[in-house]
Amino acid sequence: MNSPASHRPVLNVVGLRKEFRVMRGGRARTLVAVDSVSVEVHLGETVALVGESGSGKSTVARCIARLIEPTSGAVSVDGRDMAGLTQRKLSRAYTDVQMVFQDPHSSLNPRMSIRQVLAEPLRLHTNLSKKARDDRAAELLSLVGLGRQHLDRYPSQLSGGQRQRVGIARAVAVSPKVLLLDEPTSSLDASVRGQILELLRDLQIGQQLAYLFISHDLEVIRRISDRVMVMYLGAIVESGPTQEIFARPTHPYTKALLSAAPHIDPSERRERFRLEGEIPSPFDVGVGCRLADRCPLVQPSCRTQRPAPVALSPTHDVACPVVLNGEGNTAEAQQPAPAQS
Amino acid sequence: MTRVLDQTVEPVGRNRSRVGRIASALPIGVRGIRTSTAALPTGLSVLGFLVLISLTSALWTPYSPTATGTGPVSAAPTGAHWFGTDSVGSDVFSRTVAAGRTDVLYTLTVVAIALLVGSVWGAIVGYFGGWLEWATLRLLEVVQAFPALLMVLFIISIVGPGTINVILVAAIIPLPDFVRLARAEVLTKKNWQFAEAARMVGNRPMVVLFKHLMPNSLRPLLAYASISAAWVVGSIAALGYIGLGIQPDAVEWGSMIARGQSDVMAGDWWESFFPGIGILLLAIGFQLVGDGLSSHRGEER
Amino acid sequence: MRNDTQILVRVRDYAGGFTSGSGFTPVLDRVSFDLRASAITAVVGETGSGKSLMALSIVGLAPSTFVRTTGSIEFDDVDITQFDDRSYRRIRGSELAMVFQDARAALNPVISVGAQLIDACRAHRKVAKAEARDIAVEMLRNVKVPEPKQRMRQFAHEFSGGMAQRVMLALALICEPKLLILDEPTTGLDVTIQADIMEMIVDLVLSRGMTACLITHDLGVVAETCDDIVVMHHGTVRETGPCSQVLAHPTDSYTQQLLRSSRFEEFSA
Repeated sequence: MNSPASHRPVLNVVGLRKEFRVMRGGRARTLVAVDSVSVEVHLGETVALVGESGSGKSTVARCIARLIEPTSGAVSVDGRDMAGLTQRKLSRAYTDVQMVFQDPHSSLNPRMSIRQVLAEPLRLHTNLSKKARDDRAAELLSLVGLGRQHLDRYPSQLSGGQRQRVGIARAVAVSPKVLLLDEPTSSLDASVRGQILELLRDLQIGQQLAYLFISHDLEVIRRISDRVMVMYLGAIVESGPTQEIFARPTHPYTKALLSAAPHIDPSERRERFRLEGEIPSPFDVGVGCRLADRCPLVQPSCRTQRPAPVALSPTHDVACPVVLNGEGNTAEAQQPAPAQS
Repeated sequence: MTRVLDQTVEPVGRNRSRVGRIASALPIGVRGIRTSTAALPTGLSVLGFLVLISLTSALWTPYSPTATGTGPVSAAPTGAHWFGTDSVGSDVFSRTVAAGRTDVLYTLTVVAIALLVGSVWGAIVGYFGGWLEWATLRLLEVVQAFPALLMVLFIISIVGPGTINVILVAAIIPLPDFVRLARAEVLTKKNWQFAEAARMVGNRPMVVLFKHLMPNSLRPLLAYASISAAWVVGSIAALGYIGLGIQPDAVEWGSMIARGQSDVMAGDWWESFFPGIGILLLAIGFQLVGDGLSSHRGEER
Repeated sequence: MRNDTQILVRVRDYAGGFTSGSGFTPVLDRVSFDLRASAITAVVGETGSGKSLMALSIVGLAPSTFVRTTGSIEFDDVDITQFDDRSYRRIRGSELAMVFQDARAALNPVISVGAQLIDACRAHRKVAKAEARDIAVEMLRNVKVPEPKQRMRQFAHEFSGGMAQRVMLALALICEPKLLILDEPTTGLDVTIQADIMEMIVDLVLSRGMTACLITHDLGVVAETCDDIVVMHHGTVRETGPCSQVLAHPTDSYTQQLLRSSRFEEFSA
């Protein structure tokens, strides 16, 4: 992971912003789904975007891939700026960045055989002959742990885990450098999840891939990512190395999130850090901190000023002045780290 | 959130009628059309029968449809003339069967045009949106604000009669519905992950739209095509009845009904009756096919 | 620790399957387990384990294509295996109730939430409408729906996922049933909401001395809230017992495998 070539991030997102204009109650209103998000991912590294519904994490991925057009911000993959590309050049850029989707049911065209699914990116991006494409398709299948016999099957004949493997094979068919993974294991049974994660990790090591891993599942994130960025209502509230975030969650939302997750082993459980109410409507995001209405540590200044990320350490950013200034140092705010991390 | 079984899943005993099996052998576009209700086979049988007898009518009807004086004038149905004769002595049976050809061909052409043009237009507009979508929707609203048949008659009276004119103008009626339907299909499916995946694989947006999205919407479009065909049958016949666009003496069901109208008053019902049955059967056939196609059983995921 | 060993529901050798045009597909195979009174029992399994189907069978809501081949279900010492729909209607709501996974889909979209609560209340208790309304408001308060009086007039789609789930819980509890079955009540909800709702469920169940059966695939939730556990796999029961024991020392190979997967043990960081 720490080879010299990886000093420059292969995926660089700066100030990404996405607004949607929606008709609500007869008026046109603006929904800010992603607000000034910046992410860097290096080759061989996995950065996780974690958040609940409305956090904007999936939108970030789609904006990077330009499946949705970002409102503003800079996205570059391997040094190449994604924003200005024409549709045709964008198609070619998809040899550098690819996506793995969440739902194994709907991410494969039901009318295409597995062979066709895997041959398509090869046909579009390489000059391989049909025979060579077929061979490569079989290679890709074995790369993800599936046998040749699946080539002529259709998605409906495969299990969820198998379909997800095909989706991964499709994504790496053109040897991209960056993989955007949008909840790749969330729709799978527990027994399959581990296998898929293992596959993803092996692929990453083997091909030095950069992963942007989007999930709401903290246990998965803890095991697969190097860095974590916690999102709430479109903004990043905390970011840092995975171990650090899980051992010393600082932002109130991070604490709430981590303490809410249920654990089989009592030693991993944390004392509940509670937020009031529920995630508000994304239209009602006011001027100040997004969490103000729910945060037990809220101060008057929280409602008037949007908190900017401040470095707690060279690698750890937190966007909460209250916690950083030590004003929140009540018994509630002190999160005892669990016995095992 | 749906969770997924992790074992190889084999589809459990698919319920396929014989027609369904034939249909699914057809190449990629029709693959996946299965049915378990009786509507589709019945409708296809009716349509198939009508199409067959009318298209081959020249080969087997006892008399030529335009031959006059084949028997006594205005004679009731007998063994020699199953549907009777009309006021110039033509055999009503031969005319009725031959007229089917006209109505069937006109209807199929009109629907085909509306389907192709409408689907492509609606798909593009749904996928790319923007001002084109806005302009299209406004245009459709204007067109659909007028009573359909009146508008057709009005336009025909301006552009004049003739087969091509009739067909093109009649296609205007079902066209907006196809545009809307195709647009709706694309709007729902374009955010499905396989559509996103098709783009990520490197296909240009147009290719994603027509190679990946539309084939998955074939069934609702065909179902609607069939149902609108039922309506088009009536409008073609109506045009013939009024004598607008289609010549009054044409071998066409609507025209035949009009011509036999005065005789009906006199008690000679057969010249108008049998063409009417023809229209009814053709419309029912299309309706059944459309019905059978739109029942959603057999859709694979 | 609970001392009473009273059993509220006894499932014995319950088996059945789906009938279709192509024959019979067995789905449940000699399922046997007990639901201890005033305890929360988890029925866990992955997709296809039959856990939901078993739960639906207990409340008489199994699909019409499902046919029982053998076995029995006893509720409060009454054999309900052969109950027809009418008999079930008498006990649904007042004796047993069910909470489903997708609350907004399970609630009636065209009737106000308050009306549904009032109807449910009056279906099993002879109360005047005004009194039923008060009971309904109180129930909404119990499930921590803010501003319950105003919320009564709202409709299902106006509630967020978590709120709708609370409403469904209120609907289930309004007639004070003895048994509450919850089928994946928090799947699909955000983690923080999930924790709040599970806490509330446990609280309500314990305070009323109710018996609860929680259908889920999430062992973490089970470990934190349940007393007993029933592990199902492919329509059979693989292991039963007190949660703490089974989760700490599973004896069945499938249970062990399930625990390993849930702890990501095959995938070591």
